[in-house]
Amino acid sequence: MPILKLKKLSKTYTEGKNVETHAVRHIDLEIKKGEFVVVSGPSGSGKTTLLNLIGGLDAPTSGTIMFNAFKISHLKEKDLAHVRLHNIGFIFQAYNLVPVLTAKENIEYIMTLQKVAPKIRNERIEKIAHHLGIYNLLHKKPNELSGGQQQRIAVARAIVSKPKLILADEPTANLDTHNSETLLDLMKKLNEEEKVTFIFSTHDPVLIEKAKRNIILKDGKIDKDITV
Amino acid sequence: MFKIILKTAYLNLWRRKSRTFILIVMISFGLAAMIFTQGLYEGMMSQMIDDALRTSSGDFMISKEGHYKSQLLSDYIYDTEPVISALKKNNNVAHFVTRVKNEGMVSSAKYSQGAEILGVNLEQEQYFINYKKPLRQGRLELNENKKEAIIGQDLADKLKVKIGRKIVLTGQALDKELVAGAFRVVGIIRTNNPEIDEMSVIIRQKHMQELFKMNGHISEVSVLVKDKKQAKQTESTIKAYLTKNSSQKFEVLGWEELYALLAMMKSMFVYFVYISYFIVFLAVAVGFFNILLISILERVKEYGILLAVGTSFSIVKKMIYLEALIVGMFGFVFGSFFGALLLIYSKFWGIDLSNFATGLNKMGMASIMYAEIHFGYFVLAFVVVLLTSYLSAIIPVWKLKKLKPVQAIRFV
Repeated sequence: MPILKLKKLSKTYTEGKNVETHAVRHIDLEIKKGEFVVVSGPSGSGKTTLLNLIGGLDAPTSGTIMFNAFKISHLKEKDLAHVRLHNIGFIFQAYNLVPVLTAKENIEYIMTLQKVAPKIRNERIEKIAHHLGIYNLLHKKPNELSGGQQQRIAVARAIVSKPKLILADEPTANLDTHNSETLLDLMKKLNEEEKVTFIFSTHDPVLIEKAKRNIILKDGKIDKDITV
Repeated sequence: MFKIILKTAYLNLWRRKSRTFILIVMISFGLAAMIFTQGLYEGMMSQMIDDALRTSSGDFMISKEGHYKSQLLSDYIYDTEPVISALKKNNNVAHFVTRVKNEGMVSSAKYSQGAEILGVNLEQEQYFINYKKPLRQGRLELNENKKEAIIGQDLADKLKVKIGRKIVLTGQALDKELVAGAFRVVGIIRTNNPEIDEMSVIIRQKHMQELFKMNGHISEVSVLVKDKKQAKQTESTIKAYLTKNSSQKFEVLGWEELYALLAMMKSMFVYFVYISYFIVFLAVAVGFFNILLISILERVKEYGILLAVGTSFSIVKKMIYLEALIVGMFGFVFGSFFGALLLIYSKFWGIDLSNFATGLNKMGMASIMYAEIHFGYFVLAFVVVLLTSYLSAIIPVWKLKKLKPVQAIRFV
């Protein structure tokens, strides 16, 4: 059974009175549990919009999104927040850590919202911090960390709450090649070990090569869906 | 969970220290001004009322029925014993004095005018006319054997008399005959009660009774009570006692009835305080709202991220309200502190407005104003801060609520 099923998903933005931009057009897509999927395509092809729709950050103009056989495309914002909190992890291009909190507090934040017991929270943070090599960064604030370090904290934040799906929007765009490859290896490792489904957008050919499935978007439509 | 929300809200506040500092200063200043204004107004009003009460009516006054309206000498109290007895028996009565009052003329060598002639026993007036040491010149004693008078400062100025000069009092005696007597001015006083300062001549009660052929009778009894809140009940008890135990009919009138204008001013001052409060509150709220709005709009993207990772809007809302509340509480603490300092200074040392003394005295106000301090001022300030914090955060929260997480993340 697919973890994610999109049916004729469309998103149209209206600017002014009559100017319409079709960011996503009639997309049908199925993603299985534990898949490691890259969404690629040129700028403006609809990658970010698609990820935002899947993650419930934006509402589709038409079509449906089924998450774990549950229709989430027409849920209210309050219910969507609940779905995101317990099922979906986000990794953003610009890391987007909460600047006033330490790395540990950033990682802990979602678990706190999930009402995970403090002892379990600490155990999980310790484990993931060792795994990602960020243990000695935990007490630092985001502005004291490099881009690569911040992105690893962001990955830790996304993964530590044990989501079923992680959406990463161009997570390596602000990183150098070395850090990009390290991060991708890390995500692959988590995918294999924790069986977490990953969908990430990128237009970096090196990263695209490493994915098992590559969905190429063009003008808001799926141009190609390549499985290696 | 609340801990992390509180911590985030608190730390967000200090990201722009200077802005938060200015906001706290603004709230503190506004609150201190509100607290101080209220204490000063109430102090001023209390002083006015106290001056009027002690120099005239007391908390309530007992006289023959109809005396208040007629002010006639013939409306005197002849059955004094039950009045004194009722007052002595009542536990809430703190002090009382008997007075004789008549309207007449006062003349000096240079000027004549209408006057209210008061016959008092100065020894009994220590909690009344004497209480606030009103003496400006001479002495506040009336010789038993010499015909002496004490007059108000304004009346002395009008009559152009000094200490040691004689004045002549003329009036209608109880037998309807016109009588006159010369009295030597031995004291000039300033009571802040315009009636006394501009119109009254105080002489020994015995001399007054002799001059106007009163046969030892009195016009009225002024009473001060211990517990002001029980004053009305005490009035009723005394009235009931007199109805039962005296053949004479009495009227027992509270100061609010005797000084209707003052009572009206008192209630008007309450509104005046609230209007002042509202104006300051509005100024603070607008500034507060403005800074909070800018501060929230600067961080819309961050709130968008929080929403994206699963934070419900109600939690984000709590963060914003908490942020406003924390600033408000800082403002409240500092504002209350400075407000209390100002009030303490004004309560014990007073604010000297001697430069405006003439005008203030004409309105029955003292030239040195003493503030009051009540716990209620701080409770009201606290409520105002809570309200301001809440209202200031409504629009920023509403603006944020309109955005979807993706719009918030992209917000510039």
